[in-house]
Amino acid sequence: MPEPLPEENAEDLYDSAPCGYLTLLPDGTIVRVNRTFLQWTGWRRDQLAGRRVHEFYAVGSRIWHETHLAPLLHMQGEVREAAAEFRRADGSRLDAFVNAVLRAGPAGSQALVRMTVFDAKERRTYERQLLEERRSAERNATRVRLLQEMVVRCAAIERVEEIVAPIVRVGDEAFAATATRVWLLDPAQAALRPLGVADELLSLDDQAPEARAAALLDVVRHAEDDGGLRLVSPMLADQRVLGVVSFVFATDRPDPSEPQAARPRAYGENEPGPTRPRAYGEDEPARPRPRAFGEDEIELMRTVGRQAGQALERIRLLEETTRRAWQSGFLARLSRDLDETVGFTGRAMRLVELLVPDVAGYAQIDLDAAGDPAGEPAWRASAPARPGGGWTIPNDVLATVHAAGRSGAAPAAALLITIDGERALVLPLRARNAMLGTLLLAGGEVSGAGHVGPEFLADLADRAGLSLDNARLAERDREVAHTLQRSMLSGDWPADPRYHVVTAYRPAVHTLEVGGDWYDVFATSAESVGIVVGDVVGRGLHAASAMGQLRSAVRALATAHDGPAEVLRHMDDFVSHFAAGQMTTLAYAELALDSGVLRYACAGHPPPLLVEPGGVPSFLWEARSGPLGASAAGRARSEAMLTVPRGSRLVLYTDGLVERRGERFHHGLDRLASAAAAHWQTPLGLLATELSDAMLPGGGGHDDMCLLALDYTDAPPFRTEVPARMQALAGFRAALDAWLGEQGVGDYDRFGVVLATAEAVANAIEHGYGHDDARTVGVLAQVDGGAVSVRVSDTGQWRPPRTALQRGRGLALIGRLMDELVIDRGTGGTTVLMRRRAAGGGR
Amino acid sequence: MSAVQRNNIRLLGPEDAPAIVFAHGFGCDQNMWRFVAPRFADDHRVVLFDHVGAGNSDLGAYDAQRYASLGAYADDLLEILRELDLRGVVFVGHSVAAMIGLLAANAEPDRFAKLVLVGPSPRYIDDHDYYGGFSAGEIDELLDSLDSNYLGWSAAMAPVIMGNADRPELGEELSNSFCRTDPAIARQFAEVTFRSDNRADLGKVSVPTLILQCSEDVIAPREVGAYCNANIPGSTLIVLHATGHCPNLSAPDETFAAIDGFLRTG
Amino acid sequence: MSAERQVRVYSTGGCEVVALIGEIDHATAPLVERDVLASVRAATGVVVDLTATTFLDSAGLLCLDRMVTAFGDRGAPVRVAAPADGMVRFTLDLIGFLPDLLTEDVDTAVAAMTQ
Repeated sequence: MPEPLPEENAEDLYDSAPCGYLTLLPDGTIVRVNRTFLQWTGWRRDQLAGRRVHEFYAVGSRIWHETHLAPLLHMQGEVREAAAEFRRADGSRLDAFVNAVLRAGPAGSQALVRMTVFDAKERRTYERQLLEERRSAERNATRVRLLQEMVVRCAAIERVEEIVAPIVRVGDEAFAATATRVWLLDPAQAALRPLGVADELLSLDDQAPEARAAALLDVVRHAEDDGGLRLVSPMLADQRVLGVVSFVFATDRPDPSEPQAARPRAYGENEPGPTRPRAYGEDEPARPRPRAFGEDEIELMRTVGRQAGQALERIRLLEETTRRAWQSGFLARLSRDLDETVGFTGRAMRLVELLVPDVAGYAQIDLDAAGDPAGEPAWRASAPARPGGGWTIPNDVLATVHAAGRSGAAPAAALLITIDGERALVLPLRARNAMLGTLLLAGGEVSGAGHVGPEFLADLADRAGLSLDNARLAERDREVAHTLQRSMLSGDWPADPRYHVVTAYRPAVHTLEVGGDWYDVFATSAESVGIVVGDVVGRGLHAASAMGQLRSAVRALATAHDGPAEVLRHMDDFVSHFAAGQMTTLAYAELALDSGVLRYACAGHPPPLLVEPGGVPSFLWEARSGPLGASAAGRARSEAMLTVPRGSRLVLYTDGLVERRGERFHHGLDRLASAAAAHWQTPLGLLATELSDAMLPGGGGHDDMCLLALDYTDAPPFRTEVPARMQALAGFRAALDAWLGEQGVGDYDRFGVVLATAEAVANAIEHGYGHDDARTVGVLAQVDGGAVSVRVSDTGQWRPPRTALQRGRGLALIGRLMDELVIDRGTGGTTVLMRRRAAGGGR
Repeated sequence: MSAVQRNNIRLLGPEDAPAIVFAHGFGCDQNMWRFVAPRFADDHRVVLFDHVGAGNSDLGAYDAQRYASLGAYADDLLEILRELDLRGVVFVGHSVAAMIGLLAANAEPDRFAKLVLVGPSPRYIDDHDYYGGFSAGEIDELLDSLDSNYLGWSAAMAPVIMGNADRPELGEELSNSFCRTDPAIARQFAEVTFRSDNRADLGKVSVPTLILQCSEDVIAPREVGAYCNANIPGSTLIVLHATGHCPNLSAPDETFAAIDGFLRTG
Repeated sequence: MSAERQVRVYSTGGCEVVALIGEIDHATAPLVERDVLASVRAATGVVVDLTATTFLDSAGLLCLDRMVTAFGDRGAPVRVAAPADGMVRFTLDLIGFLPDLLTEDVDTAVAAMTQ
């Protein structure tokens, strides 16, 4: 028999129910409340009755009641399972769930709200767990995404400063940090520097969390006095610390008076506000509360540090590689540019130009006066222009730099100086263990941490010093060499109607140094002429001076000895005796002017080219032996002899004329033979130029070139002595005209030559001899190739014309009639050399 | 996407009648006007809509960055008016929507004939002499409670947001059929709402304005209504007998009468 | 060589014609100049006829220049007749001697001056 069920009292059922009961008017006024609710909250019935329920809510629930619960009751008549937070009498909170129904009262009476209140502590705990787990999962997912984004962004950056943005973004969005700062380790100073903040330095010895994190190689958590937090994660690469990331979490919310639009960022989905401390599972809201960090967040910060460290390491490597590439490229460009710049001063000026702005904002070279560091600089180059003419380097600095420069220490250190608040580096310019002066650099990259570093600058200064010194030496050499060469190559040839000589010299295209090529023409006797073309090994002053000695030697030996073989033998002796010009090659020939007998010899030199009348070329391949001073084989000097017909042309040259890169030497000779044949008709005066042009299109070759062409004139000259009387002119003219006619010279050419020659003779009679008919005027005329050459000479004293009208009328005529005109008014008389290229044809 | 679709616009009444636009405030959706708005449909073109993020609006259009200020909601409102080609409208805004409408009317006064502000507050937080009804700390607490009331407020969304497909009953038993809101959006809307300060905008109003103030309203106390009345040029204040923050639900007759009376005045 | 044989003066069409014959050079020019200036007086016009001149050097040119200047000073128009393909004309052209005054022959010169 079952026990009878206990009697249930409705009142007790209501009051002692396991849930709170509240009966409210629609406006929230409490009409009735059960004991359970009173017990749970600690309020007395009389404290509640007649008061609005809002007063007993926590503020959130108060608003929630108005914005949600009340409207829902009006719209759907009931609300289920809504969270609510009540204030207890002791100030603590009651977490609850409420169900509420709106019941229309009997007609005429007010509607009522019945609310049941369940203690939801456990349920809420469970909910909070759920919520926290979900949030944590979301946060972690978000963080992993943000971290991945950071890694991707870090992988794309190329400069250290660019790492800040991705890290700050992670700080903002993954950790909701108030501020995120990136500090870089400055190993030189054993300190941390915040990126993007000027002149803040934190010693590694400091107790600041940043310094501690850098020392510990792990995340350091630091509670601020104001309740805020700082978490610092080291940026590591291979367990080396490169810097730290500092996440700051302030306690205070943003100033609520700020308009929302000005808030620094919008919240991500489900992300809490950036700084607001949140606490779950605590009944008492105690603010401010420090933000809690789970191990997962700490680990994430570690990862951020490691990823950032690796990114930094990569950037450093990249920057180092870029810098090295730039440096070596710059130095290579510098050397090349300087080498291409002629002269010492030019090179110094080019140097300062090249340094600005890539290396410095301002560059200045001061060159010492006779190595006296305390003296005024002898010479200065600077760029860009600077008021006051540049920096004055203090004497003590100069002394230090000079001492460092002379010590020979490598690399030469740069000295940092400050003048008038501006910083500059001073470097010694030195070469061959001597100080040339100083290089001063200021502004631009020098003051920053850009491409330049001390090693680079030292390298630069050493290269610059050497280049300048080279220029100085080369300039000195070149000046002498050019002078020598000019004197060697000047065409001061003996004038003899029986032959004519033209020469050409072309320096190599790509060098400024003089070469050792030379040519020479001289009379070996009254009846013979010697011609020589030679090539001294090497370039520059050494070659030029050797060339000068050899040239003089050939001249002297040729007049003292008989024949080319003998000359070469003595040249060998000369070369070995004076130790100059070894391995010089030369071609030497002597032409007997009356007989046409040609004797020649080649010492390691390309063969002379003979072009016989009609344009038939042939190389003279006999009498070949080795270069001067060469070993025994070359000592067997020989010579060859042949008779050349009048009207022949002999061409001597150096290999620069026939050598072309990638071409066989014989091919070059063939080209020369063809070109010489093709230019057979070319008057000798133009031959040297045209032949050179034909052989070396573009103006020059890779080597110097020297060419000598001799025409052995094909007819005996017209030679006469005209008495110094004007009345003798008519007869003279007739004789010359007749001779020219015999030589086949056309009417106009004949007339022009006769008129010009007669004018020259008349000048000599009038101005040279003053009509002294005891004297004579010598006339020598010659036809060679297609041209008529005339020499008119007197032995009188030149007297200027008496009137302006007379002056120059004769010469004006000559100038128009003849293609070439040379007047040599020497102390022993006047010689007029004239030449007219035959136009050909009669009248 | 058009504003009509985005904001779940519902239209009642004759097309060519003068327009009256109802906007809901924080916490619910256009249903807030279900007892009032239809009564104007006889002689008005009634426009109802949900703010982006609320009700049946297109949640995909919600962009936390964009909706970080009330200005964005005002822009949406103007967009709706432009799209529907409405001018000279009567705007009725409840709670925070009162300020949204006020901002819109200040931006384009031509489109507005009259403003009706129901339970408006230009600033909820006390500030020196200004009484807004809440301390800064209380608003913090409100936002905290939004977090803790998360599930309760968003019951309909619970199965989705909890990600607990294996416990569907959790979502099931907590659902409420109205006032569905994505909790994250609600959270931000609350923050935008309760941290807003539109006091400076009150003086710029150039449209006839009616302020409906409830007698007992913990969200918009009478001091705030008086402040609005004092600072909006030429505004009319009616203190309703209704209590609470939602007279449109708790006292629809009185609310209708007050609005209707205002519409009939010049 | 005698100057008398080198200078011939006659009148035609109201003009004085001065014909220079043979070679006018450093030797003969001064005499020719003197003779011409002494024997020509007419003011109507002078033609210097170089048709028979075989040679002209710088002294001849100087002489010619002086004659033309002298006749001009006396108020007489002057023409110089020299055949276009002759050596004398070649010499005159060479130094650009008074191109305005040059004519092909005496008749042309006289006609030009008496028009």
